[in-house]
Amino acid sequence: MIESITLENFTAFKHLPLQFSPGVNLFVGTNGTGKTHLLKLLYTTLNSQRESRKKEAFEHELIQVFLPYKNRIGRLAHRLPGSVTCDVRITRNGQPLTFQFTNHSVDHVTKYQTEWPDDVGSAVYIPVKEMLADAPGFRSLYEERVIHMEKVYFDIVSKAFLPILRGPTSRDRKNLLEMIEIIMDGQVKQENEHFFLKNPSGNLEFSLLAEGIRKFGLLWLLIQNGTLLEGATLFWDEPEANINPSMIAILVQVLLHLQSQGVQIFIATHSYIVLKEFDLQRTAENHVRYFSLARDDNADIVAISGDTYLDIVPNNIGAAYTAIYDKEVERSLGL
Amino acid sequence: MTAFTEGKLQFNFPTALSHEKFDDAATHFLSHRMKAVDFIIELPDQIIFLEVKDPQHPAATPDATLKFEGDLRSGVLIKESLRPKCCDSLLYKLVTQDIDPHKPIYYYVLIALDTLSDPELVNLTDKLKTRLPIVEDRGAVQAKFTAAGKPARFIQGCMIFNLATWNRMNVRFAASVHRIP
Repeated sequence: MIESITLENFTAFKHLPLQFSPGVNLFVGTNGTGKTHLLKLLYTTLNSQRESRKKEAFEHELIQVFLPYKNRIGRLAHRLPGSVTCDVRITRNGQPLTFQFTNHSVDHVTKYQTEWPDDVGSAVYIPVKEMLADAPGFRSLYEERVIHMEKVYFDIVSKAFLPILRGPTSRDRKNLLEMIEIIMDGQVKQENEHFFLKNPSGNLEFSLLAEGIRKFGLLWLLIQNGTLLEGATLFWDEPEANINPSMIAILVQVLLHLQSQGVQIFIATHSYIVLKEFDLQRTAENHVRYFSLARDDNADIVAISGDTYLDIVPNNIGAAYTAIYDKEVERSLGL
Repeated sequence: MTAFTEGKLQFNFPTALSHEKFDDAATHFLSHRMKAVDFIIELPDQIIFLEVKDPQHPAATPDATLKFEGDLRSGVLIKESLRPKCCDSLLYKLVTQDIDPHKPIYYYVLIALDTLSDPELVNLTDKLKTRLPIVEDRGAVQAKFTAAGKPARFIQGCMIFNLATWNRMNVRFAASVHRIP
């Protein structure tokens, strides 16, 4: 499990220390407070551990996931006048991973050190835009041609195509798959790089399927092929995107089950319903922590964390609803 | 200044001209037939029907509070309590001609439940509105009656509050509520 991170001068962050929950970590904040950057950085560090040349793999990941202009890592340094040194420390199972770079760095980081084992479990990053409908031919295109597209899209499509894991499927996994099948009204099948929703009515190609259902389809595939198992880490940027609010409760139920089975989860969200469903559905066995990212008086990003919905301070999502409530009072009561 | 209590809640309406404890069998002669809101308050420019629910009353059992929350979220409370109380009170007052005919009538519901968030209150208010004879402030329906020479008395607006939102809006309608020991 990732336990903590300390960021010095990385992208939007001047100085930010965070202690994570071993379970679900929910990040809220207005646009531009660095939620997605945080998720991507954690993902790149994990995703590069399987390679033998970890430093080079990490540098490649960093560039391909963040896509800085001219592939210059230095552009990921916090924007300040003069020389800026970025310093990052991430702790996982008590072991540190550290690296540095400056705003003058080109394609290398310095002082890269990791005590992490090669097998850190699978890391999954689900981006905002759904990709399965665009999967046919996409992997070949990405591997053979230079296209300006974040690597997270290639990674998620590749993981969706993974064959089923050897060995029996546990009862817990079967239950999760069945929960999602009820929502999707079918199972996902793959043929010639095309994904289909299969049910008694026939096969429906993903390009004809609602984007919200495709997201459930992706989750189903990742559980079915064993990518999301105990020890895995899931990063999901705005899971609420394209999903009808009435289906968020099931989504949160599935995510809490995954957490109970040992998947650590990081979510960036703008959705009151996502936040509140986690708050309402969590049991004593679930670990859920909320992080509110906001700018202080110096415009530096700070984080306040807590273990309940009410600990989200400032809560700009709640504030938006409060504003609606006040407008409703004004309209309804003529005040 | 008009001040009154309902259970363990103390209300202050500094600008009220009068208030009436309406849900009272001694003065409401059809209480065995019709439901009634708890209070009717007359302000200089409007009439307020006030219904008070206090599931966190110190004497309330945890089971009762839980049942109340269930009824609230399932719509049972709106259907079986909040709606008939307002409609029956309106009918009673109009039939008995015991209400100022020139002042708009608003329905205020106070639910003293801390866990009710602003989004839930907005959603519950919307649900309640769909079950009331209500004319919203845009006035298109009201205008039709006026144009037809039939000035109508519907509910002008309604809102569900908790203690926090009531007191937050207090600066705008000058009435406060607080829990008494």
